[in-house]
This record gives sequence, C-alpha cells and structure tokens, in this order.
Amino acid sequence: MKTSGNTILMTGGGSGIGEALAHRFHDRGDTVIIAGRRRDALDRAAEGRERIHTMTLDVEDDGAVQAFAKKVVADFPALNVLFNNAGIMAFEDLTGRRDLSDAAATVAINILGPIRLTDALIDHLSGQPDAAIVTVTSGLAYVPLVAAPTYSASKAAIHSYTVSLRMQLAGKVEVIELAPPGVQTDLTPGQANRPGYMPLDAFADAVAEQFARRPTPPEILVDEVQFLRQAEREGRFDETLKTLTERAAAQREAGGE
Amino acid sequence: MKMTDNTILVTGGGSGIGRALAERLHDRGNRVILAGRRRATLDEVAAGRDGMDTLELDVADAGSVTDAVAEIRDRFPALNMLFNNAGISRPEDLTADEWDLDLAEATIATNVTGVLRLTGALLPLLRAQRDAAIVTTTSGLAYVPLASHPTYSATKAFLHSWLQSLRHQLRATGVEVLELSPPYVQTELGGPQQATDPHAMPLDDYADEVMALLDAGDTPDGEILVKRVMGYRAAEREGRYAQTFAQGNPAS
Repeated sequence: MKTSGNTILMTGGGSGIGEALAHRFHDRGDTVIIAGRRRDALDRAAEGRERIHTMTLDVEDDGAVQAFAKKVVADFPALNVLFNNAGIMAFEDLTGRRDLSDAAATVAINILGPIRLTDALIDHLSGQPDAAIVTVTSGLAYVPLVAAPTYSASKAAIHSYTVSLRMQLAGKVEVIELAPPGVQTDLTPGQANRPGYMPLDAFADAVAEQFARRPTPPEILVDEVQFLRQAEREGRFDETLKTLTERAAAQREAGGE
Repeated sequence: MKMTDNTILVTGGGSGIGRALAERLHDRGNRVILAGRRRATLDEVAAGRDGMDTLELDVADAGSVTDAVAEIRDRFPALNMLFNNAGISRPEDLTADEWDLDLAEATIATNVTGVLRLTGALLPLLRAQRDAAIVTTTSGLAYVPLASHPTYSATKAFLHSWLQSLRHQLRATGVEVLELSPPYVQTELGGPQQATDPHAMPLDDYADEVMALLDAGDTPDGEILVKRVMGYRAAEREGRYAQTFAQGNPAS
C-alpha cells in the first residue's frame, strides 16, 4: 500500500480504531472516506480535516451495501483502498437457550460485512493501481475469549478468509490483515477505560508506523498482540487460553463490568 | 463420550461422514435419528434398521429448526447427543466477472448459523441428561484454508474457535463438547467426483478410525483427529503453516 496519496474507504470510521487511523492516514496525505451507521459520529470524526469525507452505511443491509458501493465509486473514482474495520462485539452466555440476535448480528456485520463490501468493490479495485484491501481481525482470532464466543469465532473466520483472499487476488490487489490486541475503545461497554487494554493513541501510532513501511507487512501486528498471535506457533496455546480467560475476567471486574 | 445406550441426532445424516458414523453408532445399539433435507435419502439409509429414525430438517431455515426441535422433544425426550454434521462446501472465484454472493451467504447460513441455532435450541434438553455430548464437524481447512473455498474454510475456522468457547462455558454442566476435524474424505461434499478421488481418504477408513479414537477416549482437548488430518491441524504449531498453505494451494 502506498504511504501517502491513497483514497481509502474506512468502514466503522466514526469511532474507535477506525476514527484514529482515519485521522493518521489523513494527516500523512491520504484522502479518507469514513463510513458508518451514525451520522453525528461521522461528522465529529471528520471535523477540521478537509480530506475526510463521510457516508452513512450499514453493512448488515445487503441492498444498502450495493447502492453505497456504486455511489462511493462515482463520487471517489480514485478509491484504491478498502479498509474493512466495522465490527461489533458482545459477551454471550451459551449455557442455556437464549436469544440469538447478538450472535446473528455479529455474524452479519463481522463476517458478511467485509465479504459483501469486497464483492461490491472488487471490480473497481482490481482496475486501480496500488489497490489494497485491509481487514481488521483481532488477537482473539488466534486464541478465543471464551466470554465472547461469536465475536472471537467471527474474527477467526475473517482471518481465514483474508488468507484465501490474499491468494486469490495475488498480483491484482494487496491484502493486508490488521489484528489488534485489546484496545481502549467503545467496542464493548466500559472498554474505553479498561485497565490492561492498550491506549487507543499508542495503538494507532504503532499501526501508522507499520503502514509507513514499504512493502506493507501482510499482517500488521503490534507487540501487544503477539502473545495471542504466536500462541499456537510457540506451543503455548492451552496455557495462553487459560491466562487470557482469567485475565479478561479480572479486567472486566476491575473495569466495573 | 459414552459409546452405547445413547439417543443421537445426526444432522446431514443422509450421506457422507454423517451417514457412515450414524450407521456405526447404530450398529453399536444406539438409537439414531438421521436428520437432513432429503426425506427419500434419509429413508433409504434407515430402511431395515430398527432404532434408526428420520427427521426432515434444514438447519439453514429457522422455522425448520424450530419444528424439528419441537418434534424431538416430543418423540425423543431421551436425546443426549447432538452431532452437528450438516455442512455445505462450494468453490468461489473472487476474480470472476460474476461473483455470486449467494454462495457465501448460503455457506454461512448452514455451516455457522445452523450450528448456533440448533445447538442453542437443544442445549436445555441436553443439559437435563446424563452423559450428554455435542459433536460438531469442522475440517482440516479450519486450520489452513483452501483458497478456492474461502467462505467454507472461514466457516470451519469459525466453528473451531466457537467450540473452544462453548467447551469452556459448558465445562461445569457435564455436556461434553467434541470437535470432529476430517481431512479430505471420499464423500460428495465437493461434488460426485470427490467420492472416488484417489487423493481423498476412503470414507470407511475414516469412519473406522474415528470410532477407534472414540472407543479409546483418545480425544485430547475434545478434538477427534485422525492421523491424516494432523498435517493441517499441527501446521501452525510445527512452524510450517506457510509451507502447508503453499502445498494445499499450488499457484496455477
């Protein structure tokens, strides 16, 4: 991916990691279209930055995605990067019969969302020089947080999908995975101040530094996520799963959850 | 997992791995309910087998799951084992002019949502039984994807992750959570040619090896792994993920 002068579509760009990265890409010379469900959040995120544009989008709605893709390509014909960042996370108790709506929404947004947007924009991106697709997964793709089963599984799915996508699009579109550790955002209630999570600005700075490298690493991994990313490879999966489970419970408790 | 005196629901039980294991479990004297979309196929498998019942079920259809669960509660209140085996697999070319998104949606609906829905609906019944178990079929492709089947591989990665969370959450309930990860086996999952592909493991060999592992209780961390899938299962752990991926996905 170019280190400046890109035109980037950032989904979930109105808050959290999407917003923080949109600001950094903008400030180094990229044009960024931030898309999301909440108009007020998008406007706030774009404030004072002239090359940040906003478009509302709900990736859960297939018809809306198709119409959105047509419009974004018409309005921004230089679009060369799709940054699939939108995602939701919920804690779920699987021990009894329950409402599946959280799980269904997580699958629709975290898995089908990137697949739909990639499908809708692939023809355009394939014809662009320096085209790239970035998918945001999670350290939990590699070692699940057992309290968030569908979220963790959705990220494992998108990690796998990204590996396949990279192979299928080789030579046409660069495919990059960004796997964050726990970052202080509003992804789950209380998380923005949860102790032990990485501060958002520190995370975004570390990620921006890796996006400034040529070539871009195929997996963008900050030091804080290696504990999860390398667990299986380093033969400590079971131990890491246990540590993560205990640590996450303690952090949520300490954070007032 | 207990090997006799169970009442077992097998989804995708009309063919392939589901059928082969259902027949072996039935031969051991278990009561087996074969569930699937095609009534005629189910009836054919169950013909002449006492204690093998059939149930029409499309796990991708929420209404069908609701109806089936009501029928199970009514007809088979002793159900203590759910075998989530139904799954579909389709190649997808993301660079083709017409990339059909319906394939991705259908694959997720059956392989992911179907499992979540049926498991959620049957868990209260299972929890009330002694010796309850949930067995779910994933794939060696959960660990190293087949790039020509991106959504299929991703759905199996999903299930592998999700089963670990489920196993942890159910650890105090007595419901055992098992993952069955087949290698490439001679079934019709990928089309009729797969059933005779010499590169695929013969179905009977696979089913026999699975039964032997279950008999021996050889299911470390709840995983049922025949020797032939270990190349994929252990690829990351053994530091040869990239090599295994390249071998499984030769550049054309």
